[in-house]
Amino acid sequence: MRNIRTLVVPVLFLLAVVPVAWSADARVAATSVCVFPLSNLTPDGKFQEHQKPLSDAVEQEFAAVGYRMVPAGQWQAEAAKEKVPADRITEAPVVLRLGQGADADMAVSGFYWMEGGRILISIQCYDVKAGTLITGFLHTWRFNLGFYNSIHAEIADLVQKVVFLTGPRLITLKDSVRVDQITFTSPQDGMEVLIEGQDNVGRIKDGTLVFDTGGIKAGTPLLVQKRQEGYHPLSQSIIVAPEVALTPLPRENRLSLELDWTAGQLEGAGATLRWYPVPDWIMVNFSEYLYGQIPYVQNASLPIHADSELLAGLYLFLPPQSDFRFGVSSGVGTILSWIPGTTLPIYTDVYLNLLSLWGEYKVAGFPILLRMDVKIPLGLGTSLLGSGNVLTWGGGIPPITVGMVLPWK
Amino acid sequence: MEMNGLVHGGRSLAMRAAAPLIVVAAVLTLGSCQVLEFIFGSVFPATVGLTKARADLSGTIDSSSAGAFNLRVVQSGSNGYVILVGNPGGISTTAYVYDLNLNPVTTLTGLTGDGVLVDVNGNIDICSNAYSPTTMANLGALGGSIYSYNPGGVDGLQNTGTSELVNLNFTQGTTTLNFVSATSAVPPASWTFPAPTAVQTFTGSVSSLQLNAVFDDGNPSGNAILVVSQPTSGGNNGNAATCYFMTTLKANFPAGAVPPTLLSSSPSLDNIETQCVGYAQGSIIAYDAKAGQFLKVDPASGSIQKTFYTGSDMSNTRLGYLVAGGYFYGFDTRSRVLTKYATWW
Repeated sequence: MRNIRTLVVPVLFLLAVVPVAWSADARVAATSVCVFPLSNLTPDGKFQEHQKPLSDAVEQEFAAVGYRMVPAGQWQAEAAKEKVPADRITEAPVVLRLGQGADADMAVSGFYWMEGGRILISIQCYDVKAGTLITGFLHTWRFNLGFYNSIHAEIADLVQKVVFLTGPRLITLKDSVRVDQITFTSPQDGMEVLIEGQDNVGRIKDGTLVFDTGGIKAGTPLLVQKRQEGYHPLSQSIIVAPEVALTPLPRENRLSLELDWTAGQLEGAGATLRWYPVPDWIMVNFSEYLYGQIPYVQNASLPIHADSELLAGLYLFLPPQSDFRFGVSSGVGTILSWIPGTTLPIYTDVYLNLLSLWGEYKVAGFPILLRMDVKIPLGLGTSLLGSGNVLTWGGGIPPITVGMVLPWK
Repeated sequence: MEMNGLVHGGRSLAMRAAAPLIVVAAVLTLGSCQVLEFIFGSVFPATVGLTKARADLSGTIDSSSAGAFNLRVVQSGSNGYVILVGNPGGISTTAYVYDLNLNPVTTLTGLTGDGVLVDVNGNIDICSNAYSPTTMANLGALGGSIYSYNPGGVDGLQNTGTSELVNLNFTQGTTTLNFVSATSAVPPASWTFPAPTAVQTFTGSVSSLQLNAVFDDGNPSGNAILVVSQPTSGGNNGNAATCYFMTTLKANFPAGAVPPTLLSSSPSLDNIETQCVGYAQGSIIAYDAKAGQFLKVDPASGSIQKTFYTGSDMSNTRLGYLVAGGYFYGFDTRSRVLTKYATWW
């Protein structure tokens, strides 16, 4: 008898528990999750190499408990159509919209920020169908060898929380659920937050700011204005939820250094100092380009040219946070030429830069530029180029420059 | 399988061996095609690297007169001069004389004629006067004036066998080559020029010929090379045209023995800037206005021996060459700067 009891009790326990466990597993397996790559908000785009392992860690933990992962191809096309870079999907409305487009039940997004040997990570998990935030975390760690263990554990906890919170609820949330407090999270301390139609909410401190809403219906769209001295102000659309992540503001530049390489002057390089009287919009450039002129015959000298230029210009239309921008400038310059091994004077070619047209595209946070200049020599002084003809090289092409802009101050 | 292995192994070995050759061939091709010169082309002309000296005449010759000046480079023994000579107003001629390093020597005004040559005595004859080759002192007036019938080369040939001086020209609009010569006279004072004499009428369907340059190969019993063109053919802009390089013995001219078929049997090149043709070290130096490059041409065959991409329009530059090589000179009629260049070949 004792043996029978010993056998029956566990069997009965199993008969009771297995359906419950099977039911939970089936629910998880039936839930599709769209995990977006974590956004790297580190200034100047540094530490980009950690984006993939961190994003993979999130995806692995969700997949490990049995969630059905939505392939990236299902949301990438929609993101491209909306012109949202794949590594910049952080704002709740965008996350929810792309999640809906991918027919996902849940969407996970987040960002990280590394500075001074520490890393801040924020990850949010949304219920796409309900348009609400399920849960999330904002946490900082010292960045060392143990970090990846810690982050896996933290994400695993998050996933368990999600499994729990998305299970059958004891209390069902109604449409009329109201949010009394919104906790804004952002890595940018000191950023001032203003809510549409209301007074200043306050400034982000220690990565968070709590806003007493007085009771707003969950899911209500709001426009948040963000501003801080030394940064460009921005607006951000949010959906009311207990926790909302705010993206940081782009810094205002007053001084930048530009490194240039120009066709027709390939045997050298140049640098330009940009001063912005109106940050990131209007600029005064002083450039210096030193180059030689390779002789292809044995009797020739190696002429050395120094091109100094002063230009005034401005960006057109697109704001500083745009990845692509373009602009125009014009001014004057002088090319000094020295021919070694002769008693010839130093030649002076003064020119007018009628139109300098350039475009920039940010790669890893640094604008890479392509520029074309229409320079007309004036024939003043001891000139080598004469006057009147637009400067060209090779097959009659005006000088084309590639360069990189390094924000300085 | 072994056979396949051998074949594959052999092919792999051959490819490994060929790889450096392919790289070398590619580099040579790049060099020979002047691709590198194009890629590393500059906004400055390639001739800047050849520049050795300059003389700025922009304050002396006004822009409207510059086109009337011809550039002549003459050598007598160890003395050489670069002479810009022209008669822009049609009244009197001015000659700016420089040494071979473009240091100013003298300026001659009030001359009659516009030609420059070295006579049988080794004196430098400029227009209507003879000058000492060492001091450029005026040795006195010539019996007549020398005229320049072409923008390039020399204004006279010496055939030392009989000490003749031959001054050539084409009669415009016809197919006739005329010349004047002094056979037994001793310059300067007793030297007189008879009226031009028709030497030869070229056969074939030629008309409107122009004499662009006359070259002396430097050998007293050697050849003269005439560069002639038809202005309406074979050019793409400016003064560019098809140029014929007619080589014949200098002795043929006073003897009236220039072959009438010389034009049709001579080599030619298209798109040659007719005012930029020169002669040095046995080769014709020409400027291809279409390709923007200098050409070194074998006068006997017309084959191109070497090229030099200038990266700038040289069509307004009058050029003069030292026959023995070493340097050449250019007068840019726009900037009015006289420049000494190292040779590029």
